[in-house]
Amino acid sequence: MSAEKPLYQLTIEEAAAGLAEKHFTSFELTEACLAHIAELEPKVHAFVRLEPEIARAQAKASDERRAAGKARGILDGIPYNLKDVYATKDSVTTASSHFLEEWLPPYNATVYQKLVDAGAVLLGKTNTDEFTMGSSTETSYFGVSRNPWDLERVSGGSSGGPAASMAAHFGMFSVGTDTGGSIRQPASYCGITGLRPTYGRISRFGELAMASSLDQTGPMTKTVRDAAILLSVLSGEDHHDATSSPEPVLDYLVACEAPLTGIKIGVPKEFFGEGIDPEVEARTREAIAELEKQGAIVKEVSLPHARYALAAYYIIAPAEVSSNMSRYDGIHFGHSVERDKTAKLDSLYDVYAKSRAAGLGSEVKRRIMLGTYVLSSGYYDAYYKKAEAVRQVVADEFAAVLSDVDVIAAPVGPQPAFKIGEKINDPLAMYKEDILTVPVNIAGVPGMSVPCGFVRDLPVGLQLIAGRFREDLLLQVGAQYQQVTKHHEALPPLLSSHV
Amino acid sequence: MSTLSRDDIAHLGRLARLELTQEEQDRYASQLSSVVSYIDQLSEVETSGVNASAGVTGLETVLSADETWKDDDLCVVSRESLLAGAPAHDEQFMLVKAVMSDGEGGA
Repeated sequence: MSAEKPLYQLTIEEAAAGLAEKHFTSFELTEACLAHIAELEPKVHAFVRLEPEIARAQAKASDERRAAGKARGILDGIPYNLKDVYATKDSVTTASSHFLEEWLPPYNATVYQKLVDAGAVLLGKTNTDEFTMGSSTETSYFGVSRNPWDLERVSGGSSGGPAASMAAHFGMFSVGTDTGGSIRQPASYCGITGLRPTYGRISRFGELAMASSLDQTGPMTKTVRDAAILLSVLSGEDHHDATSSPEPVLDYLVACEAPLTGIKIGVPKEFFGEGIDPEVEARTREAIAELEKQGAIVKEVSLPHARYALAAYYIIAPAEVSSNMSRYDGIHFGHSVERDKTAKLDSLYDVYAKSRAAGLGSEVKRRIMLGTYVLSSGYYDAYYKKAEAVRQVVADEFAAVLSDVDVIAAPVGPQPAFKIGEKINDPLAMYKEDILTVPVNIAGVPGMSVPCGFVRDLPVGLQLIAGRFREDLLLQVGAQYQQVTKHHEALPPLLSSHV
Repeated sequence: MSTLSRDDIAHLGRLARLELTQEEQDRYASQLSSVVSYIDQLSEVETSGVNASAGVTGLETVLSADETWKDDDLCVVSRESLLAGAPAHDEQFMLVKAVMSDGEGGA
């Protein structure tokens, strides 16, 4: 079976082995990916932009290194895509916003530079909600990314492009960001593996900021083992990001090998029951039972304040958004009414207000105003300070539970992927999409979504949560689970009918 | 506290430097009101003894080394490439309309 697997369907591990054994070149692998993308991308719309010239040049350079005996490591020659929120010197970076539609960054993000240094091959930039604000990619200026499992449904968000790209096998891996669930929710919806590391594990330098105290880059991959490989490459302290952590970076693939005997798994009762699709709950409990069969010790735990994390998030995140988005001012870079020589501009205020009005979409404006409101004089204590205090309560509660158990297991979201258009006109309903993922961001701990089966033919994920900088535990549990289950190998109808 | 009027939205728009149409003002007034009444539930949480900080990094004050960046550092960017992004600039500076003028420019 695996011998017949088309090149584009390979995992990082399989592709790296094939390159090392000279079964194919990086150029051949890259061409196979580009041909496959050309065929199915019109149906999925995972990409904001393809970069075939960069891909071919990087692949050729990789093949030359390998031929000279100078291959750089496991990612050398491996094609991937990047959520379009990283500054890349050679490629326009848009954050799926009209504001940055033509912006060519003058520098590279640390994440991209690390992938360049590792020899990986950039296929293109994948879609996101505008500036990562959304849960469906429907706020992208360039249109929605469709779910490869059902093209009438969303791929989730904000990292919907990367998630759809992995379900459709557009490259060997993808890189996303998660501020309130933006890696885990689309990973769940698209049946792929998505890891949001501990805040500070991966540098944020050059990652276009949404909410700086919550944003975090992470791997979006076909397997947990691939996520481990990618995390080892991307992690580490960076002198350009004062919040990046000096905690040592592990060889996370080693963690994947450890058996589950004696691992303690906590099941938080508040993440089940009312509001959760019974079929989602059933898949989650089946997955937990499978972990128990492998030797894990399962016990019920309680996180009574987790339910307040979402309200705290929708104060803290918009507050930081309103501040971060002030750089889009029509003066420094990106969209500006001043480029339109016919525009009538009476004042500096007009340059700001009209450039932002025309360049930013409605979800971004909504959050800027919400943030401006909660930070404004008279409301600051009632909202922002209160939310910071609640954040501490939630973080302390997670820390206490995670000193008793190794890993928490729960659903990722209340239901599988919803239909395109279903929630876009009701912002609060869209915000509630994050109810089970946001607590992780508020607590600053790592979380991962691992495919755990199907609900009405749509994939759903098991959410695993560990203590700060214990990604090794998430990867261990996830990798051992994938040893005995096949959910992560299932192909969406789009591909299975096509092969 | 939890209802925002159209005037409130117009005021927020001015503070945030966002020009809003009448239609946007009406829409955001109702949408933000429902979000704000949702976040009001935080008053249920007892936080009087909580020692909160802005973030959960656990890091102490981080200082950078007192040395210049190397030429190949990611942060070393030419003046030209930074100016290239700006809509109005000369060879040295980005150009902006007067900040301290009669209008509502700076304040």
